[in-house]
Amino acid sequence: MKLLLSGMLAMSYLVAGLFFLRYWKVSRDRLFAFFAAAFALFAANRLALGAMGMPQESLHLIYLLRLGGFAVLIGGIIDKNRRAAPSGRA
Amino acid sequence: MMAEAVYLLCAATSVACAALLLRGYRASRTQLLFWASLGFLGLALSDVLLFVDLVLLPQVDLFYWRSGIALAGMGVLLYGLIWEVR
Amino acid sequence: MIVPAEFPEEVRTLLRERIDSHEELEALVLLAHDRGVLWSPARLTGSLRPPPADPAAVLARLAARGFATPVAPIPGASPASGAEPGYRYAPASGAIDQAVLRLLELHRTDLPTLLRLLNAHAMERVRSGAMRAFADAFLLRRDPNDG
Repeated sequence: MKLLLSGMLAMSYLVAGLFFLRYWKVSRDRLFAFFAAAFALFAANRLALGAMGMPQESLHLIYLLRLGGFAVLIGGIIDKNRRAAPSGRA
Repeated sequence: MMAEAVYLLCAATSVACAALLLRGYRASRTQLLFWASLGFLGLALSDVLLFVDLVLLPQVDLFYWRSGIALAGMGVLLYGLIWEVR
Repeated sequence: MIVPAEFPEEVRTLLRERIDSHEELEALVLLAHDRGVLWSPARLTGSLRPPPADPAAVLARLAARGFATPVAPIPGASPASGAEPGYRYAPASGAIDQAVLRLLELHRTDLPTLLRLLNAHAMERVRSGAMRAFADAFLLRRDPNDG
C-alpha cells in the first residue's frame, strides 16, 4: 500500500512537471522551466525512495533530491525577479 | 537532524509559494492561482508532518497522513493546471 | 495564422511587447505622425474613429510603454487649450523610434496584416493569461499597475 501511494505521488509530480514544461514552451517564461525541473526532482526523490524499499526518509542522502528541488524552485523565483523589466513585464 | 531541518525548509518554501500565489489570486482573480496555492499548501503540510513524524512523534508512523495530504494537494494543483489553463 | 516573413522583427516585437489593442496602435500612429503636437485626451477623442472609451488611459499606457511623455498642463489656461495634461511623442530609445517609424510605414502600406498580427498576439495573450498570472505571482515587488 505504501508503495502504491508513493508511486501515485511520484506520478503526480511528473505530470505537474510536464504541464510546467508545456507552459514554458507556450509562454516562454523561464520560471516554468525551473518549476518543471523542481517537480522532476520531487518525482526522482519519490522514485528513489520507492526503489530503496521505502526506507525512513531521513536516513538517506535521497532527501538531497527533495532539497535540490526546492533550491531550483527558489532559484527560479530569484531568476524571475532579476529578469523583471522596469515596466513590470518580465 | 540535518534532514529534519531540510524538511522544515521545504515546508517554508512551499508556504511561501502558496502565499505568493494567494496574493496573485487576490490581485488577478485567476482560478489557477487559487488551486495552485492550495496545492502548495498541501505539500507544505506534508513536509511539516514529515518533520513531526521524524522528530516529534518517532514512535508513530504518519506515512499515510503525509502521503494523503500530499496527494490531495497535488490533486488540487493538477486540477488547476489541467482545467484552468486553455 | 500566417505571419508575414517580411515584417521586420523589431516591429513584431514592438507589437507583441508594447501594444495591446487596435486603439493603442491608432493612438501611437497619430502621436508619432505629428511629433511636435501635444495630445490631450479630448484631442485624441476628436481624432480617433471610433472614439476611445477612455482616452486618458490610452495616452497614459502609451507613456508607460515608452512611446510618449506627459506634459504638465499650463496653469491658468482654459480647459480646451492647455489645462488638461497632454502627451507628446517621446520614444524611450532610438531603437523604439526606429521600430515605430517602420510601424508607421507598414500601417500605411499593409494595415490588414498588421491588424491580423495584433489580433493574433491578443488571442495568444488571452490563452496564456492564466500562465502569465501564475508567473507574475512570483514577482516579489508588484507594480500597482500590473495584473
